Amino acid sequence: MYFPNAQVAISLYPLLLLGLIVGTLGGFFGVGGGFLITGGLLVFGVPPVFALGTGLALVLGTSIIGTLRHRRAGNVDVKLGLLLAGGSLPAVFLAERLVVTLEGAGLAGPVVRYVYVFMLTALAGFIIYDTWRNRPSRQAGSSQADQVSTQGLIRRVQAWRIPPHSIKLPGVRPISTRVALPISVIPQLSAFVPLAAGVGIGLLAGLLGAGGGFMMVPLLIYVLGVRTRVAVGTGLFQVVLTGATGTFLYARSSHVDLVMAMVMLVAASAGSRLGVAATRAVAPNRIRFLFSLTLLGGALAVALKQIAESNAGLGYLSTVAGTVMLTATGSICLVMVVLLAMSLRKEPGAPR
Amino acid sequence: MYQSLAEFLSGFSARFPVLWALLTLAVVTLTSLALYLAWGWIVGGLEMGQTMVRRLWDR
Repeated sequence: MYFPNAQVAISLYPLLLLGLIVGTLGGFFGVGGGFLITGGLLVFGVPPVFALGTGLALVLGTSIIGTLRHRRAGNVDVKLGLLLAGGSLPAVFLAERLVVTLEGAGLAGPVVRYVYVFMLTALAGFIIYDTWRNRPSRQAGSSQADQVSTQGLIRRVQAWRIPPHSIKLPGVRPISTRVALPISVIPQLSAFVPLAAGVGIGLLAGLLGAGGGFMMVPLLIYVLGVRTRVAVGTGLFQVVLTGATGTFLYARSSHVDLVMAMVMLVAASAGSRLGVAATRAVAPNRIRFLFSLTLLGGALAVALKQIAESNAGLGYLSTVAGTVMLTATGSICLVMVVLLAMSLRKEPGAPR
Repeated sequence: MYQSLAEFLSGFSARFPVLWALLTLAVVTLTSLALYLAWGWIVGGLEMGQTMVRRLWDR
């Protein structure tokens, strides 16, 4: 099929497969999947700027569908998501300025890729360590599968009292800056904590050209103490807001191929249904472990891309990087489907 | 026809970039909502059909 805006002809099947994988992972892990879509579209021969723009439109669509499904399951903390977005949205614009400055110095590509590889590997390493430390066999039972090893840090962060403790507006009684987040089971939290976290994630996301979901979910779980399923739903909700901003910016310069995004969105919507159903059926520690494997796949792909960029004779490694990413995520989707099927066999009445 | 529509849209997006960006957002959002509802209906319909078949079978 020919896509006139991106001026490229691609078979429908790989696009549908990519959409299905992105939707499934998005629903399961609470990430938009920007890192996967852009890599996949580049492998299919889509020009880079269209790969980014079209990818963001797909991220927006899949995160809307995933958020709606998670909201039905009670997994979206809208108040927390809005506070995070309050920090991350302005930070994304700030990061874009930073990228322009780095580009001027000819450093943007390597810096972005090195930060990416470091972040993904460090996050994946920590999640694997934490999953191993808190594996159910060492705990009192499978009900402890949502236990993480950063309880001390979580307690300290939740107890932080950052001034001002209230904001006074004319004609309105003082508004406390400590908020209760019942959906996340956080009794009290300074509103400045998620705002600052949003700024940090937004800066990194803008620098790395991603929605930031892959950093947001671990932060919500390990620093703020949000339960895994609520972190996945709230992470997706936050991706809706960043995805919409990114899509608007790229669409304004006509770098979104709407037809291509729609084709992938149809498959992604089916995948999202599967992914959300799996979050309800698969144990939280397994979700976190599979998430860390996805991050490692991403780190490997970006590292290969960096080698390809810095060595003129190894250009083919760019294609290998995209293939590695697609194979890794496709395999994780298969594992997830198997875990879902096993859980449904154990409990035929489990939610779908 | 597909080509001429693409040319028209390309010209439109170049002349009214902000309007085009808002239209893109609207199309993506509405399509997502439609797909969300459609899958809900399809799965709901399949479940209803399964229940009906099971009841008939049990009789």
